[in-house]
This record gives sequence, C-alpha cells and structure tokens, in this order.
Amino acid sequence: MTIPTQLIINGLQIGAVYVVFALGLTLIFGVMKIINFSHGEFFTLAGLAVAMLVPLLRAATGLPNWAAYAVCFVATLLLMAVIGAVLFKTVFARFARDPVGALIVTLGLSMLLQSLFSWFFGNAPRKVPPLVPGTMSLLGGRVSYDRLIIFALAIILTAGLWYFLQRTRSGLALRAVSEDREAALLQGMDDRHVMLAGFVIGSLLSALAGGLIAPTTVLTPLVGADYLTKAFIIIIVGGTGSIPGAIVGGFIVGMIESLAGFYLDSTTALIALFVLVSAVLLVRPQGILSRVAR
Amino acid sequence: MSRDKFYFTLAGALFIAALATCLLVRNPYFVQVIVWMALNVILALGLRFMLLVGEVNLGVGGFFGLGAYTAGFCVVQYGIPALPAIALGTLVAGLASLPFGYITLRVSGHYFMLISFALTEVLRLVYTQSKTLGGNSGMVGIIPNIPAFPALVVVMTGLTFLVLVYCERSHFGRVIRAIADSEAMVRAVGISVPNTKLMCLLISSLVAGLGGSMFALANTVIAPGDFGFLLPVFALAYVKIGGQSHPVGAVLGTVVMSVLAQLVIGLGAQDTLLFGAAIVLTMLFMPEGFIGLMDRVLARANSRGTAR
Repeated sequence: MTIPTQLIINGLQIGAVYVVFALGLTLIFGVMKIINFSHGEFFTLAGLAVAMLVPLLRAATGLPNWAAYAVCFVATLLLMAVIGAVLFKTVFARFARDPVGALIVTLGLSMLLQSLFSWFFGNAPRKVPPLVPGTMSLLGGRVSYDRLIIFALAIILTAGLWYFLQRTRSGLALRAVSEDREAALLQGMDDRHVMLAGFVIGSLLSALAGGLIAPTTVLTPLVGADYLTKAFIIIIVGGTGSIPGAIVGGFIVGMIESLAGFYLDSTTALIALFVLVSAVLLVRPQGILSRVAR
Repeated sequence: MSRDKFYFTLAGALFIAALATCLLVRNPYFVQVIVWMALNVILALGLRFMLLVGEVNLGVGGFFGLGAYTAGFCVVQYGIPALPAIALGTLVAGLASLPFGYITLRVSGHYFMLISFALTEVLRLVYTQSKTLGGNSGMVGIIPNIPAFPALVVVMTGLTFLVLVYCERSHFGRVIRAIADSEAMVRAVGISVPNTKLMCLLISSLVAGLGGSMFALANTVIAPGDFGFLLPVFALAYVKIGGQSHPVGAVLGTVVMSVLAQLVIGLGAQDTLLFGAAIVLTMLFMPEGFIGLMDRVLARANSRGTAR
C-alpha cells in the first residue's frame, strides 16, 4: 500500500461527510441569510442518539449490527425532523434575515444544547461498533468496508440533494427564495414555508452527517464545535450559500486535513486551513465558486 | 433623573464598590471575583465597540489571549516590570489586529464573524503547539511587581470605560453608528467604510489586549484553554443580557451574570447551561436587555414626575 493513495482515500471519505454537513449550513444560510452556530449540535445529537440506541435495540431484538444501525438512524432522523421544526417555530423563525441576532441566539442555543447533551448522554465518548467488519484493498490503499459504505451514502445524499434542488418544484422554490426573496414573494410564494423546509432539510443534513460518522469515530457532547469550525472554513472557501462551493470546499478541507494531518499533525492542519481561508478572502472574497459579485 | 445620569451614577457606584472591595476586604476570594468581573467588563466593552459598527468581533477572545501571552512572556522570560509588560501586551494585540482586519473587513457581513471565530480557535491551537509558550500546560509565575494589583485592574477598567464612552460620543462614534445604519450612505459622503471599521477593530483589540495582559498578571498562570471561543461568547452574552444600547449595559450584564455564575457553580451545575438559557431567553423575550427594562421603568417614573 502506498501512503499517498491511502491518505487521498481517507481525505475523500472524511471530505464527503464534511460536504453533507456544510451543505446543511449553506442551505440554511441560503433561505434564511443567517449562520446557524448551533448547526453542530444537530450533528452531535444525531450521532450520540444513534450510538446510544444501537446497543439498546440489539439487546432487545438481537438484530445484526448493520440492521440495528439502519433502524436507529431512521428513527433518529424522524426525531430530528420534529426537533428541527419545533426549534424553527419557537426560535429560528424570529431571526430570519437578522444575522447578528441569529448569531447570538444560536450561540446561546449551542451552549444550552451542549450542556443538556452532557447531562443526558454523559461526557464519556460514544461510538457505534463496526457495521461490517473488515477492509478491502482499493487502488493500492486499504479502506474499511464501513468507510466505503459511509462514503457511498454521503455521495448518494449529495446527489439526491442536488437532484431535489435542481429538478423538483420544491427545490426550485428553495432556490428562488435564496436568490431573490422579493421576487419569490411577488410570484406568490410563501417564504415562511420555504424557510421551514430549508431549515429542516439543512438540520437533517447535519444530523445525517453525525449519524454517518458515528461508526468510524468517537463522539462527545462537545464534538459539534470542531465540525462547525471546519464547516465555516468550507463555506467561506466555497462561498456562503453556494451548493457547488460547499461540495468543492468540503473535499478540499478533507484532503488538506488528511495530508497535512499525516505529514505534519492535526493541529497544524487546522492552522493550515486558516491560512488557506485568509488567502481565499484576499484573492476572491466572494468564495471560489460563488457567482455573486460584491 | 435623566437616563444618562442614572446609568452613569449606577456605573460609578459599582466602580467605587469594586475599588473598596479590592482595597479593604481581606478575603482573597472576593478580590479574585472582582478582578475577574473587571476583566470581563473590559472584554465585553471591547466586543461592544465593534458591535456599534455592526460587526460581531469574536476575535476579542484571540486578542485577549495574545495580550495575556505577550505580557506573560515579557514577565517570565525577560523579567520586565508589570506596567510595561501590560503596555506591550496591549500594543501587540492592537498591531496584530491590523493585518487581520485588513484582510477580513473588506467584505461586509457574516464573513467577519465567522473568520474572527476561527481566529480565536486557531490562536488557541497555536499556543498549544508552541514550546516557548509552554504548550498545553501554559505559563506559570507571571507575578506583578507592584502592590495592590487588583485595585489597579479596577482603575484601568474604569479608565477604559471612560475612553470608550468618549470615543462613542465623539464625531468618530457618530460615523461608526452611521455605518451600522447604512454603509452606502457613509460611503456616499466620502468616508472609507473599511478604514473606519479597521479603526474600530484596532480600538476593540487594544481593549481586549489590555484585558488579557492584566488577566495574565492577575491570574499569574495562563493556559491555552483560557482563551477558547467560549470567552468571546460569554462576553457577547454579557453585552446582550445587559443591553446593547447604553455602554453601562455591558457592565451590568457582566456583574449580574458573573454573580449568577458563581452561585450556579456553587450549586454544582454548569455555567454554560445558565449562560445558554439566559442568552436564548433574553433574545426571545427581552431583546433590549436590562437596559431596555430599566428604560421602561425610568420612562414611567419620569412621566409620573411631570404629571405631578
């Protein structure tokens, strides 16, 4: 096995999860024009819930691990959709198009949720046991079946979201409100409904990323903040609100993290990402794939 | 009593109480709490100054840390006395903010708060990586060479408050408020928006650097964990809960929330739970903070006074 191939495979796999997570953040930004600082908490909640439910379900029914994971994942997503809708109605709806107010309230929400998670789940790291044990060789590198499954699911999800946004009426409505709210309102669209849909889908993407990563890494109640910092870097690099930007940015960040993390160390990798962002802001402040001129 | 007079009297009373505690009370715990509050007031005021121009500067945590590490390094490595060390820490934080602001303030809106959040986290990571700065365990033995250091911290906090109120009410202060209202309008009268914002960031960072330098000397021990993103988030909570529309709001928010946090920690609960819930509830039900509540009470009292 060659180390560079291995690192590229790892980079693609982690990058694919970042893409799903950052797509949620950028979608919410698109329809509501706010940055959701509690986006990471949806990720954490889903990951921790799946990690807690899988052993319980297996003990109760004796299902194989992958089946228990699938059932728990779907149940968690349903729960997360409800939580997302409730939070939208009670908190987020009031702060649409109010970036500073939304920043403050979502930072508070993030702190509140983190405290509740560590009270409910405990601070001990949790992990889902491997779904399908074993590894296979791929282009000279080795990759575990779990990582392959997660990568495939993340790609399918991203493609599904792409299809939804580009080819369906609801997706068109979401894009219309993102691009020009006044024009969308003039066409008779109800932007409250569109914002609710955008927010719930965005939160579900965060939850999906959390559930997807649970079998390959340990999760703690505070892990959301690490992913959020990376998602910020991704959407600044790609351009806030840009879907292709989030996809490209996610893979760039995954790659840099994998390569710099191996040849240097993980902290230096994050510092390198920060330098990258500063460079992008200097040369192309609107992000590498954003078409909007500022 | 006019609104301004009432709030400044309140701030003056708090200042005198804090100074008296530092000079007269022998219990080191109370003095430590007062110093911690004063430093948080400085941080909250620094953050608020940037809020006036409409930008959320979560980088104050990073510049606070930069000031602390600079002052700490000067004292521990070179044996520089406390006052010049504080001056150097303040200056380094201010100078470091200039290239950062030059890069990040050219685009308006959400970029700045995202990248300033990242700056605070990255600076914290840099400290953990640096052997000269003590890595994860930080620096010890940052002992001030002057007596009554807590009282000095309180006096410096008072001076910072006065300078920032002066800036806010000067011509410059009117320009930055105008930018928060409408950037296009300010640009139309020929004032450079990015340069004005950069000036705001410089003031905000000097204030944060001053707070950090004094924090290092007051605490005598610093570690990277002291300067994570929770630091500016707490400061933001103080400003919002106190009320943003008057400079005394930041002071009130800090004092009330610090006392509450001490009580909550005493009960064995997490202060993040209290702060999180307080921020969300304030934003939902009391968006103008304590100042908003007191404004209403004052207005009622005044109208009753005139009716008589």
